[in-house]
Amino acid sequence: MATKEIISDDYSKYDFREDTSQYTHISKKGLSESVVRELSQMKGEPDWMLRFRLKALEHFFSRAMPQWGGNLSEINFDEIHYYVKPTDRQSQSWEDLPEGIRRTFDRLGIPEAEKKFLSGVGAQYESEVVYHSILKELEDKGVVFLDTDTALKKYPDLFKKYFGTVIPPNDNKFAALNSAVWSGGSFVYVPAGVHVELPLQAYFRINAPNMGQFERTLIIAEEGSSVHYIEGCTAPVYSKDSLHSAVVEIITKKAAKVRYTTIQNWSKDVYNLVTKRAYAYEDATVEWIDGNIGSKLTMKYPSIYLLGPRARGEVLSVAYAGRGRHQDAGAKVIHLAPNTTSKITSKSVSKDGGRTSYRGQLHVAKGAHHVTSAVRCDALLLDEESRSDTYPYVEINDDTATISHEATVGKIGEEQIFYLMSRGVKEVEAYNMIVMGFMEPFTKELPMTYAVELNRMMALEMEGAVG
Amino acid sequence: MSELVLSGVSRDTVRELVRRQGGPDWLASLRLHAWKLFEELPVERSTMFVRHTDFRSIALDSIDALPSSSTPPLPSELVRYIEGVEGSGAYVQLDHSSPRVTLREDLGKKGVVFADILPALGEHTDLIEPVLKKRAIPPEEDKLVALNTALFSSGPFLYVPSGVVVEEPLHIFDLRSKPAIGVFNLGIVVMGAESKAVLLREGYSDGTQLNGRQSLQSSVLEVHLGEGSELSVGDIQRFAENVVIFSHKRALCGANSRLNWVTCGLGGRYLRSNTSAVLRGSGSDVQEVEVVFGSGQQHFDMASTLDHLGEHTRGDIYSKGVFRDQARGIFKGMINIGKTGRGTDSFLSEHSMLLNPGASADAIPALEIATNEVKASHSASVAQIDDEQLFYLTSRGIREDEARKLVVRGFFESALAKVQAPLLRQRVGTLIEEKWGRSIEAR
Repeated sequence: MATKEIISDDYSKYDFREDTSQYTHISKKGLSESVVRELSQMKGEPDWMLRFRLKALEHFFSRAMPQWGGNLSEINFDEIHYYVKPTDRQSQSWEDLPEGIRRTFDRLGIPEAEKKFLSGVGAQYESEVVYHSILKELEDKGVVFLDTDTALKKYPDLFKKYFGTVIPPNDNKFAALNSAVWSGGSFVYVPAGVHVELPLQAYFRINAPNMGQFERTLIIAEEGSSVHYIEGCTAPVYSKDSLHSAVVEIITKKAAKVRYTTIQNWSKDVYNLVTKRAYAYEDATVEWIDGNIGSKLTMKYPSIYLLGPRARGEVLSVAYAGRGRHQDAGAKVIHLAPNTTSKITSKSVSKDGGRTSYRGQLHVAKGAHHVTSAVRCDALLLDEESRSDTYPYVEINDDTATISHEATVGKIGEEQIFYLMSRGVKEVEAYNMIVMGFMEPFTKELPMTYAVELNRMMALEMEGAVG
Repeated sequence: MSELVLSGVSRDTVRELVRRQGGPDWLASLRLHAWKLFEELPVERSTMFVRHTDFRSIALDSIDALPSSSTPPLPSELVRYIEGVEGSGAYVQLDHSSPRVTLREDLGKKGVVFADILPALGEHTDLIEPVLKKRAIPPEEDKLVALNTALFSSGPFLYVPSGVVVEEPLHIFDLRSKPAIGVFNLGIVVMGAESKAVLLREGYSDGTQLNGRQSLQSSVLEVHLGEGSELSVGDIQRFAENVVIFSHKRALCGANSRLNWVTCGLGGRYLRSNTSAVLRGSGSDVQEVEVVFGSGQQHFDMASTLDHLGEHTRGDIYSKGVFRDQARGIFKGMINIGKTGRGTDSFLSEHSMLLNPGASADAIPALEIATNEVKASHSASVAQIDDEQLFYLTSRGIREDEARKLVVRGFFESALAKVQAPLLRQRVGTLIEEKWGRSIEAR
């Protein structure tokens, strides 16, 4: 059987780079106490933050690399620039940005998207957020949407109250790394009862080679509020490895709702090692919509701690692994309160020797009675070389829980293809239709423009030998 | 959390065993090598399962790990039970005394061998030595297999020549009457091409041992299935609650061979069961069933692995557990389909029912799939007893206890249906009912 080009691995739209010679600051390669001190000083941070960073750095150095997940042995921490500041100023208008940066975000279509369907936009370039804006009416209602560095200065008390409370610096090696050298990211605060109707968006771009991007995002949704946050990420293709290690903390108070959507499309030389965790209090809802298409290796398991009665968590994880890529993604839901519910759906596609792994944890604590949870993992393998793994952990310590888990791994059925072809659909188109149908639970959760973008990203190529 | 405390056993114990048993030099060095591995290896090598390994309930203090050369008379209760079972042969071992092995004469004439492994080593060197030297489960792989290799002093050896069919089951009885001892048992089964057999193993304590100091039953069973052979293996653990059981079973499956692996966990304080099959022959088929009913403080740690390496192999792991009181259970399943496993069809299923607060159950149903011409899926669930079913039964005048028993019985029914040997299926069903009765009385 001839190979079929089913999903395009065309990354050319994102593979462009701008000059770095005019950058304000590039820290020398490697990680040390002096790099951390220098970074903190340049940012003019309060002393507690410097101490927080240094303590985290100790954790990072003392902690062993994870022995599970993907292959991390090739990461050379000494070859990475941990802080890269492309420009001195942050702007609220795209026109004021240095030309190279403006051109980058234009090509990625961010200003256009902002006009059409967003409440606010943050754009991070290397280590710093270079552009930030939010609709005036939201600002008037007390919604805060800032880059995290600015938030530390403008809202020191609010910041200190929540920062690092969901994911402590010693949570894992990469959370420790982020805590030591974090820069940029978004800070979102939604006051009680306020509904942010249109999504807030952050876009993360790595431009320089051997770059480490360590953004830090903190979202606080007060009682009865709601917000949808979207992030996207891309980088040019280099032959040298870059490291992206973010920490995202979400606090969802009583009856509030937070949805966090990620479309991760890093180039194939980026290690994407991210810790994301949300707290959901009484009657709150947290949804992670997590799409992983790019990167060399992703290890990311968005988690939800259901802390209050009737809190609800949902994770929709979609992964696509093409040649040379490993998506080790999944979800964790920890039920700590009664009558909490959760749903995890994972969809993965492997192609051309790519590898997808679902790794999940579902935990029901003793006393968290009448929990219900359903987990579903489906994987498609498009050829003989590709690989799919499923590692679900189901831990039930309360006898009133109702838990189900199901998974299937397989290829596209000949009979499905035959059925479509017998109705006049070309073979390649038939494959396309089936893959898109498989992914549909994800695409239907995305805002329209993103769905179109995703379809384009994963579009079928009609050429290629068939049969 | 996962340290193994095992006092009273040392390198000197291994030396003493070697001194007493004699035997070939290669076996002595194998034992000492294995002891070193035991000392070095962690209890759990897989990073997947480290966090779910918990040996805290194990307290093996000053156990006597050396075999006794005597063959004491069997307690009358055990004699009655054993005599009630018809079969092709029986391997009966009381504590760590020498086993008694019997085999129907006509089968011996057909070349079938059923014997205690070490005495048989002299007579059937050509059959046993290669499998002991090139192990199906290398001691390097697992601390507890290394321990068994260092100290094994008995174990059933079964050889069924090509084309021979053993109609009636062969029985293995591991009987326990003493506390604070260690029994190390290494069994080997070699099935010739197109041969057939049924092997039923049962671990059992006499009634006096409920509160004695913990003792250890370490069993390793390696099965070699020739082309087109068929085997059913039943492994029933119903020791008293002072027995810790480490059990490893692995089958290497030849082309078109068929295996029905059945593990039933009812007794013991702690059962760490590890069952695996390597489907390397094309068209081989393994149907694995696990039935676990835990009560009191029991802890069942059940691991099952299928490695699909041949083409067009079929596999099924079907685990069902019911846990009451403070019992804990974990089902760790792994279906591994290698690059060469084209046409594999495999299913993994782990379902638990918790009967009351305090009981807990974990499931880790993992898949690793390296090629696409396959069908693989799994399902897992944990739930309490179905209120609607209970209501339906009680509304028809059935007492609640009886109704609960019926629901549990119904829950296990789908697992029992996958047990192919009729005697084994019936035995497992009877023992579940018996245990239900006992645990109700104990309340």
